Amino acid sequence: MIKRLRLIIVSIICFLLFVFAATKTNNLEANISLVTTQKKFIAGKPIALQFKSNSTLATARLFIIHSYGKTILQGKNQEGKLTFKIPPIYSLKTGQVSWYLIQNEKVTDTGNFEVLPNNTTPTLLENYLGPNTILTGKEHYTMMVAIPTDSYDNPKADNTTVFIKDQFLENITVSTQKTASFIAWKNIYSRTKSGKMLVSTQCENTSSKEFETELNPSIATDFTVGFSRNHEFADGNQITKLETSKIKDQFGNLVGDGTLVIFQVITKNNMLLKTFAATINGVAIAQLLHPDHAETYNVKAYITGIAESNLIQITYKPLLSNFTYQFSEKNRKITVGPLKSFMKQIVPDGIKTELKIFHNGKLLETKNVETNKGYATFNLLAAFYKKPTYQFEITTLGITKKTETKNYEAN
Amino acid sequence: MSKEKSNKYLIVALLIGVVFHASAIFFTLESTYDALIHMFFANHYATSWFEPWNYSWYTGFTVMGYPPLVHQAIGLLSLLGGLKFGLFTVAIIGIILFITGVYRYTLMITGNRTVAGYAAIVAVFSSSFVETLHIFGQLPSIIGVSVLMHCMPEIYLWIKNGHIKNLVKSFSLLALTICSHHVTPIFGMVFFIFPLIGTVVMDVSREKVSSYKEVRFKLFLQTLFELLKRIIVFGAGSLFLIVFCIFPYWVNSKANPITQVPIPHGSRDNFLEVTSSGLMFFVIPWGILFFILPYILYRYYSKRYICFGLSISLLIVLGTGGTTPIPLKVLGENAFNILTLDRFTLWASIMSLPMFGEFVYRLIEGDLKTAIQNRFGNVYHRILGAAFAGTFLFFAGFTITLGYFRPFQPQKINTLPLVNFLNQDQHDQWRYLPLGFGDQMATLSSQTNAKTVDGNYHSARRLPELTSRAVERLENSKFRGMEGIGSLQQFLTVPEKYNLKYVFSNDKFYDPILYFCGWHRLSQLENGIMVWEKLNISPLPKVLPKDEVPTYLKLMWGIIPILTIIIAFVINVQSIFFRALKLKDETKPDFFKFEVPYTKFPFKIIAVLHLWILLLLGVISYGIYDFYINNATQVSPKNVVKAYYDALDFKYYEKAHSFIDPNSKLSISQFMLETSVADGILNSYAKLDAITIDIIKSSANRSTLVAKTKWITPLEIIKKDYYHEVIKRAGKWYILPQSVPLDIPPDQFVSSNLTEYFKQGRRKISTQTTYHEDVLKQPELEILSAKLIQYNKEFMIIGEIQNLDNSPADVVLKSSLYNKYDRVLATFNAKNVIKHKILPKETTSFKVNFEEISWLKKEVKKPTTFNPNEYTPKDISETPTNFDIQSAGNVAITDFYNQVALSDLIIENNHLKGTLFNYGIQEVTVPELLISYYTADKELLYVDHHFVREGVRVQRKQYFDYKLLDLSNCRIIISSLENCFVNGLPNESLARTIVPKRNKKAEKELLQKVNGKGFSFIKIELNNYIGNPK
Repeated sequence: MIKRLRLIIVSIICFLLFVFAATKTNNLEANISLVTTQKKFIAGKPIALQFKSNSTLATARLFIIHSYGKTILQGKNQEGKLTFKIPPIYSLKTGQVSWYLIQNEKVTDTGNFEVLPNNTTPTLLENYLGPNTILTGKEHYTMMVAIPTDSYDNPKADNTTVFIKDQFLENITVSTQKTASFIAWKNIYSRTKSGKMLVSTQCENTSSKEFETELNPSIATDFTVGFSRNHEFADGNQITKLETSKIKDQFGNLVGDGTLVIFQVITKNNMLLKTFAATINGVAIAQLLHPDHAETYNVKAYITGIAESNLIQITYKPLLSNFTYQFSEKNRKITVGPLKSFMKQIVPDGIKTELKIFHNGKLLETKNVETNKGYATFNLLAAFYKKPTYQFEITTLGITKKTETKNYEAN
Repeated sequence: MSKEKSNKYLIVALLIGVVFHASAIFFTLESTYDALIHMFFANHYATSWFEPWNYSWYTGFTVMGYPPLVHQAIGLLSLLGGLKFGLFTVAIIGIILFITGVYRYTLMITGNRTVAGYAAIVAVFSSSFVETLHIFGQLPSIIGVSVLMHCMPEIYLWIKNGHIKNLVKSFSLLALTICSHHVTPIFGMVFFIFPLIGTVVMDVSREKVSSYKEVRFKLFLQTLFELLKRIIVFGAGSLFLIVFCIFPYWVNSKANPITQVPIPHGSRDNFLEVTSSGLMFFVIPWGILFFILPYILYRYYSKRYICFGLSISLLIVLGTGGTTPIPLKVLGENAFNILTLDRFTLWASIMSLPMFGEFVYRLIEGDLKTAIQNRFGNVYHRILGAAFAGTFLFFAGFTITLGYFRPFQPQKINTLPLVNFLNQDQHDQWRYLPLGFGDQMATLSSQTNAKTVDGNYHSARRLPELTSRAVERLENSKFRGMEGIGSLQQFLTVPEKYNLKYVFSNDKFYDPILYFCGWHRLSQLENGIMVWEKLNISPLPKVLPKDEVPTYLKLMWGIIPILTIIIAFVINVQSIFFRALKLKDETKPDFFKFEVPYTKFPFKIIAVLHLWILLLLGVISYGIYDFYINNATQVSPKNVVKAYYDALDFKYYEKAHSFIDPNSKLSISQFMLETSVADGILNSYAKLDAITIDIIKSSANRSTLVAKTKWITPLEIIKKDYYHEVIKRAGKWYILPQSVPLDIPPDQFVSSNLTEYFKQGRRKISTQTTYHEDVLKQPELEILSAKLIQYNKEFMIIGEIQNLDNSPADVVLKSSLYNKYDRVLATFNAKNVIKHKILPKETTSFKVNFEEISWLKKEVKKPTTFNPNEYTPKDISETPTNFDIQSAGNVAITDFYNQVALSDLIIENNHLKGTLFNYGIQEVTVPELLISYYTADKELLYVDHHFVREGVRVQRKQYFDYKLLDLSNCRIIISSLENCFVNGLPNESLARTIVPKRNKKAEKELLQKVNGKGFSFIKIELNNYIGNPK
């Protein structure tokens, strides 16, 4: 019984001694030093830092700083060996990693290592091409940027070879670019012909998809303008078509469809008329209504600030040289006509006829009516025209006639 | 005490009432003014019960601006059977509450169960109730006032007898009223409960003496003091309830005071001038009651009810709105402009119901019947009764069907295509704006998560752009004249400020303004609604701002209202059961003691009633006659012209044609052709606002008139005088037809070639955000000139911009003014003085106005300014010293119609007269001229615009006449391209890579020499709006 008691006491003492000793040794700053000599690791492979300690009990923590973030790892002492496993989110990413060994809140050791891209995994390619439309010519270019990466999205080491290829018409160009600061890039210069250019890249066995950029025509160069019409008479009812030559840029490409051309018409009286048209296949066709009086049009077309055409002249002959008019219904109705055209046919309906009403030489009012079956009729309602005398000036198809003074009875 | 029998009249009233109204609401309620708003609020509670913030309307608002009970009840029921189920169920509950409420209220007033039964029956068909429910859809108001009527007998009994039981019951019901509708209990206190207290005091005084005659003022006062303790207990308790039950509402009112400028409401009109308002807010709610008004007043002015008499008199007067100046004086300017005064008439008519019931009882089986039969005989009594009943039912029928004959709302819109559109392709990442939806916009809001800048509860508005306008909704802004259109224009011009990208247009009227503000049509949905889109708008941020309120307020708001229902139910359910099932004999309440014996109807009153009815009939007959004379179409020259324009305005061509002289042999088809062929702003988009017709000359059978018309169009107000000759044939006046344009287009068959464009958007079918390679490059623009000018004391930015790219561009141009400390003075976008869609190499002049547009000033009575938040009057005094222009191009694919030629031009007497000729194959609806003015050195000085009023049809001419401006006081302050940016990049350097050397000489050849005031050259550009693209 006593024996057993002694045994118990001894074992308790032993245990306490052990505990004290353990505490004592732990409290001591154990000498921990790095075993792992490897300074460069490959992304995706497990990374563990091993330290050895003179104590089999001492532990420490490892503070790591990665471009991806910071964390603290808890070490585990296995018979004097401390191993720190770097978590996968850090070991998958390339970059410099600094570590700080911390014992009892004190940094006792530091160091660093590097994680390198994993060249054994399939290469991925990230590409950007822009702008996706450029103009023809020597100074315009589009830029292809390629970023080759490993499967963990780590950019490959500098000087990785990337092939940048472009196709335009029959020509395929391949150029070799080395990555620098992770990217390989090339300015692909435009050509003199417009069209679609396809661009792609390749790195190791990986190819990009097809990228495209449109080579659009540059700005227009000067062009000529012509016209066509049904007849040369100023009947106010036919259409003159104004047509440009094929408008091209300096390299001979047709300008883009929809390019707006302004056709400016200068009349005899220096009034500026306008008609507009957008090009299709380089040609813009605008239309213009015939004037209703003898007229000479000077026509020139413009692409504002960019190009212009030659000046052409279009002459319109008068439809008639004279017309008649009658007064009726106590002079309150004025009938102009019949207006007859160049083949003695009645003019088309809707010819503008203007009546200027004067009293004692002073212009009172201007009335406009349109002809119907060759006649234009003006009614002077007694309620509105109360003066005893009026004189009139009638203008139609560019011819003006002044009437004699007419007397009116008050109503 | 013998067991009381069930009141058969009440049962009949309930049966008829529920069947009649419950079946009618399915056809009326959804087209009422308010019901859909309540449904929208209910949807809010159904989806987020404790969260008071709602993002759907007005860039966010709090629902704490309206008592929640009815909305929460609909919301709760919606979880069972959908929102509409909730709405209709609550409406039916409201109907039952109203009928029983009138019964109990009448019972208290008259102390006669038969009379109360009669009152319940007449209440079913009372036109004010029918109107409130079936036209206005004011459910909270109905429930509020019904519960208040239930509450009144309990208040009576508490004050009279002092039983705590009655006090608790009255408080429980009052709390319910407060949570349903805030205005009802507050004004109900004044108009219903104060007179009720007076009546109790009177009754208690009466018990001390043998007749009401002996109740003198001294005794009344004495009794009042005796009862004062109970009155104070009740008063203090109800005040507490009003504050406590909707405490968050009061907190919110304090935090967000209503800044809204008064919005005109029909109930504030002078009913004699605006007869439509008179009909809606006076004639209909009073209905038959107005014929027996002397009886109602006679009864209420008897001694017992004297307090009710005073109350109802005040209500009658307040209900007259702007007809008399009294309501304005009584309520004060503020309350007058916030309250809708029709509720006073509603209350007056409800207050009259007991007396109406009593009158009907006396007429059908009481002393009035005997009195009439004795005096005038049986036949007269029967005729009178029939006429009375007929008129009564006519009013009810007329009211309930009013919405059918004169729809208050646009036709019902199928919202499903809209909801699908918003859910599709992340369209709900932007705000939208419905136009021409009426109150149905609330239906759309309750069905989608997408947000709108508009809304339908204007007290909750926060945007100063909206609160500063007396505009009910942007959606119907055309009914508010230029102020409404101006407000809408602002939203459409600067949509990026509100992340507004889509407009749903259910009204073609707004199309031109959308086009000229730079919007374009996207597609027409299958319900016929056109979707308009604006480019260059960023989506809504992921986190939207909101006003946070403390949690205790949210909890109070979510819990108290529903709790009041539960408490009221628990407290009152017992007595309801006992009363309904007659399980227990209940002692008769005290007010039965004061029943009036209906023994001898005073003949005086019969006489007065007869005189009153005769007077009313006289007034009505005169009104009808006057109406006929003013509106009979062909009795005078003026009438026929007016009727003609009315018919044209509503597009009743057949009717308009009937006013044309039959001897002119103008067939209807020819007439239709002549009036409807011409498209244009005036013919297709104008609303006749005012017309005055003056006779220039007239004889017995012939007249010449001028119709001076004023039209509201989405773009501007147009005034135009039309001259007409009218002729009298066989006693009727007719209009002589006007001459038609005779111009004949050159070709019968026309072909045309145009470049058309298409954008793929996302090439892959995917919900992912757009792939990098699918993003189109923004077209390169060049700002050719930019100037800060001052014209008529107003600062503006003008300039010219060109699309240098090979793809067509949509141009958004934003300019800011800075003072010398580089502080922003104003920012605005180019509105309609720019061509927003330009082809490759096309140029457009532009102008950015920072203030209101001049025509707006002239037309609106009180000067209202375009007052965006960042531009205050103070800044105007500061001279801007710098400006910048940020322009953005985006690839556009539509609206490039350029096939209009300027085919003739004359400059005379400072007028620019010209002819447009359309050589393409689309009809141009609204041609806009952009007229740029240049100095003698051919430097841009000013840019103006002119909308040609008539459209240009295919291969036809259109004349315009534009008065040149006097620019002698227009000066260029700064002319600089330094701070001009295109797509975020510097203007000049970018443009030089595309156009290395501009041909400036050629540009100057395009200017027209003019001898103008302050300018020497002009340039004309055309912007063509196609209303109906083919």
